[in-house]
Parts: sequence; structure tokens; C-alpha cells
Amino acid sequence: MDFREVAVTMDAVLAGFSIALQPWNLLFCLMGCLVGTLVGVLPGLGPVAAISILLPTTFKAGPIAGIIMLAGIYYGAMYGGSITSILVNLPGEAASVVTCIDGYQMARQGRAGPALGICAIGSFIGGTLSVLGLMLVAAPLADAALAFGPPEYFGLMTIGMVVVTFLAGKSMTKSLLMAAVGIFLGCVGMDVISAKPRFTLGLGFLEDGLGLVPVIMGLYGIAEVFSNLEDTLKVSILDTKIQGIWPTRDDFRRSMGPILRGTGLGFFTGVLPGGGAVLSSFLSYGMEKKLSREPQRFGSGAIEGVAGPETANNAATGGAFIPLFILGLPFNVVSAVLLGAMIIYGVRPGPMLLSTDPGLFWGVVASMYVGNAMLLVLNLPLVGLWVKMLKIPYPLFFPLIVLFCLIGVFSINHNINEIYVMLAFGVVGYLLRKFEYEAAPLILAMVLGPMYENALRQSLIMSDGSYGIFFSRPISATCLIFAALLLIIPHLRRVTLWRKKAIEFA
Amino acid sequence: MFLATRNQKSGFFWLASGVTISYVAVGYGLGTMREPGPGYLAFLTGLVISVLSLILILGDLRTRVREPLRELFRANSRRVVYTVLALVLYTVLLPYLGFVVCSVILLYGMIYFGGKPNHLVAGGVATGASVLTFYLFSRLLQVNLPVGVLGEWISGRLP
Repeated sequence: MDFREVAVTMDAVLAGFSIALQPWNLLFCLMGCLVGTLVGVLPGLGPVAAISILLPTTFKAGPIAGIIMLAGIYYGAMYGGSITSILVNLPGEAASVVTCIDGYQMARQGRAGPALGICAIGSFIGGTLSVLGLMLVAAPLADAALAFGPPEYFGLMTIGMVVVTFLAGKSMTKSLLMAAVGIFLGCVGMDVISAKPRFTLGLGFLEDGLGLVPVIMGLYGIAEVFSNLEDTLKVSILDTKIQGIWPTRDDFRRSMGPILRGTGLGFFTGVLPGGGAVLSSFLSYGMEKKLSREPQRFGSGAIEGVAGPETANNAATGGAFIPLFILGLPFNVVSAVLLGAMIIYGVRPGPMLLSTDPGLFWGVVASMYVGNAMLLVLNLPLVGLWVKMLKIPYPLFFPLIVLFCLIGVFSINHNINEIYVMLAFGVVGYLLRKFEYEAAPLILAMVLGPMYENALRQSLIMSDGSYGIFFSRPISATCLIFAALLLIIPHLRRVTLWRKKAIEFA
Repeated sequence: MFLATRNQKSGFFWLASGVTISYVAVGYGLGTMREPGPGYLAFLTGLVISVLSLILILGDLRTRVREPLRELFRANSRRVVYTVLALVLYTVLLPYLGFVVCSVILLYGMIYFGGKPNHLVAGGVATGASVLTFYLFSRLLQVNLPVGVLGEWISGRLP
């Protein structure tokens, strides 16, 4: 990056701040952060369901304010999840699972305050530095991505889906199956080349394809309610007074390394296909434990075990916006939902976004700085309020989720049929949980499905029907070989185990 | 035993689905390798689903574990069935009774049967939440929610 490019980027960043600091956008950023924190605090309802449920409320706001709010929900949830992990030993969302290990132990030792404090500080540092990374990487990557053709996109999408299936759930076969079902669901509707309706069952409203929002609300929102109707969740909040939120000098000394390492790790994990907040938090915890001179402290209230993962999961949210904004490809489920939202707003992310809609891109990026500062300033004094929210009885809370799902789905197209679609996918989601299937690969594949099909068909047309085109281009070849390795590795391990068993038997 | 485990039961369902998808996709036209047709990817996807479901079914062939459907669904599963029925009924009646009336009834039922609070709490929360969301969406967000039997009465009374 030469001096001129830096100056152009700085100009764009300042323009972004002028957009993000407009009162209307600030209001939506604040709402996103608050709702995101609430969603993170309340166990069960994750950012995916929350973004899709609240999507219709942003339609009147316009694309910039809408995306600012949805992004706020995403990174707000990362912070909110840590509150329940520390105080209740129950992760509000998946990325905070690791925080339970040492965070809850700290709370039991009367150090809930510093644990929450370091979460907020780490989240702020991780979040803001990752946004800085996003700013630096965006322009050069967008230039490089302009040279990408259908085979490169096909390779990138394949690796994205394979990594998500590799990481989701216990059974890779089931996750792959879900991804295949997702691609099929993406095929439902009018074929863009031949204009032929496919798999519509004669229903006119399906010709535009299955709506992403009804499917997500069904699989995540309604299915969650159904599951909770069976199991009553009992939340017991640790009876401890939260005082002295500011960490001690020793806490800072111990946490600075994990926070900086967590930022780097989280950012790069977020950029990677299939990576994201969950993976980064686990990797960060493992790395800190490995690097620590006293690994035995981990599990019994080590502040490093809270600082690293919480920083990493917030840094990953910034990283995840890179493929979404610059390549137009979502590499995790939350990004997939955000892409769906952008398409509804009429925004098409991709390499051209920076030149066609720079206000949107830089406005949203700048709002992330503002949002991270808001989270730091607002959330520490509001911890008591969030804890009180946890005491709302579930029988009062879940009907409201159902109501929001119903009204949310209806308000997108004013079409009652979409409520039926949501209910059908609610039942499907409930059954998937019963039979231990993960919904994440399905959602990601469904969003990528139409793009995947176009990339495949265009590539085959380009190559005169030869699949060799995917292996003659370095990017697609690397992606596909890596994807194949990921599919093979688990079986190799099994082969090794079988071999071991056979040798022992002999 | 065939279809003894949950993997086998679900695998059988996916096998049937995969075969159906591939069969229907052939009808849309597979095209040629040089110019793939509208059914090309769906056909391949159906094949992949079928192969993966066969792996699921065959993978558990030697297991002695039995997972009857009865064990997968607990006694409380009835609540799920009633809720699904209530939601379907809600959707059917929505254009006729309108958003507020349908939502009050649905929420009241879910709150009351979900946690057994007194009628006043259940009724109060149901009415308050329904009217508030109606106001939020119809007035502030300009969503045309069905007004149903309340017609202009409700619209005229909201600020």
C-alpha cells in the first residue's frame, strides 16, 4: 500500500465515520448492541435467530442503518454470551462455551467483576483491532477478487461448506448430508438460465425460491421453542455481588498477551472459510493453555482463559466481514444470514461493493468501532440489568419469540404462505435436533446454493464440459484439494485406529 | 435389526428423499456436460444425499443399540404437537380474525399452558404484547398486518 492508497483509505474511513455518527445510524447501532447483548445473555436464542427475527424491523431504516443494527447484534451477542457464561455457567451462545470453564470459577471465587471487566476490555480491543484489519485488507483484496472467475468462486464455496461440515456436529456424514440438503433447497425456484420452475410443487410463491428468513426462523427460532417446550430450562444465578469490575494490575499483566494473541488469531480465523467466533474461542483457549507457564491454573479460574477466547470471538466477527463484503461469500452461518439480509435490502456484496457503494461499506465498518465503544461503555454498568433479564420465566419469554417470528416472516412479503414455510421448517428443525443433525451446514449451503450452481454451470460452459478447469487454476485447485483432504482426514484417523486395534488383536 | 437406530431411521428418510430428488431432477433436464441443464446440480445433490444416507444406514448395521421412536420423544412432546396445531390454526385464522385477536388467543394459551400463571398475568402479557407489536409494526414500520374482525376499530384507536 503506497502513500496515496493510505490517504484514499483514510478519506474513506473518515467518510464512513461521518455516516456512522449520524443520529439515525447511531440509534440503530445502539439498538443492535443492546439487542445483541440481550440475545447473547439469554440462553437458547443465538445471533442467527435474532438477526432473522429482527430483520423486518430494519426495512424502513434503509440498508446502511439496517446492516449497522444487524452487525451490532452479531458482535453484541459475542459480548453478551460471556455474561451468562461467567455468572450462570451457561453459555448464552456457542462462542462463549469456553468462557464458562474459567469465568465461572472466577465468579465462584468472588471475582465475577474482573472476569466481566476483562471480557469487555478484551472484546473492545479484539473488536476494534479486527475492524482495523478489515479496513487495511478490504481494498487490496477487492482488487485481487476482481480477477476471480466462476471456478475460483466454486472452489471457495466448496471449501467454505466443507469446513463448516468438518467443524459442525459429531458426525461428518450427517453434516455433509445437511449441506447437500441445503444445496438442494437452494435449487428450489426458477432456474435463472432456462427460467424453468423447479421443485415448486405447483406453488406459485415458491417460484422465487424458498425464503431464507422463514427457513432460518423455523430452524432456529421456532425449533428452539419446540425443544424448550420439552425441556424446561432452569437457570440458577450465582449469588454473588459483582463489585470491582476493573481488573487489577496483575490481571492486566496476565491478560495482555492473551488479548493480543486472541485478536490476531480471531481475526484470521474469522477470515477463513468455515471459521468464526466459535472456532476462534476454542483455539485461543487451547493456545493460551499451551503457552502458559502454569497450565494447571486453567480450569480453576485463570483470567487468561477468559481474556483470550473472549477477545478472539469478537475479533473473529470483524474478520468474518471480509469474505462477506469483499467476495460476497458468507463463510459462516451468521454471515450467511447477513448476506440474505443484504440481498433483501438490494445490496450486492462483492469486489465491486467498495466502488459502487463505498458509503455503505465504510459506514458499516466505522459503526463497528462505534459499536464496540458503546458495548464497553454501556455494558459494564448494565450487568445487573442483564442478570435480571435472565430471571424472566421462560413460559413468558418463549411465546414472545413465537410472536416475533410470526410477525417477522409475514412482514417481509405480506405472504401468509411464508408462515407455513416457517412452521414446516420449525418442525423439521425440531426433528433434526432429535436425530442429532446440525442445521448450520444446511443454512450455509442453502444461501450459497444458487451461486454454487451458477459457478458450476458457468465453469463447465467455459471449459467445454471439462471438470479439469477447477484443477487448472491455482486458487480453485488449492481450495478443492484442501476440501478433499478435510473429507479424507477423519477417515484416515479411523483407518489408523482400526490398524492399531488389528495389531493389538494380533 | 434394520432401522433400529436413529441414524438408520433418518437415513432411510434421506435415502427416499435423495432418490426422489434425483428422479424429479431428471425430468427438468440434465443437459450436457458442455451445457448443464436446470436439473444437473439437483440430480447430483440427490445422488450425494442417497449415498450419504446409505453410509448412515449401513454404518449402524452391526450395532445392538435400539432407539425406538418412543424414546426419542418424551411425554412433553405432546406439548410440541399442540403448539404446532395451535400455530397452524393461528395461520389459517389470521386473515379472518386479524393479528390482534389471533395473537392474544395464541399467546394466552402458550403462556397459560406453558407455565400455569394466573389468568390475569397470562391475559395481561398476551394482550399487552399483541397490541404493542401491532402498534410497532403497523404504525411505526408500516407493515400491513391483517386487522380482521376488529377492522377499522383498532386502527382508529391507535395513535
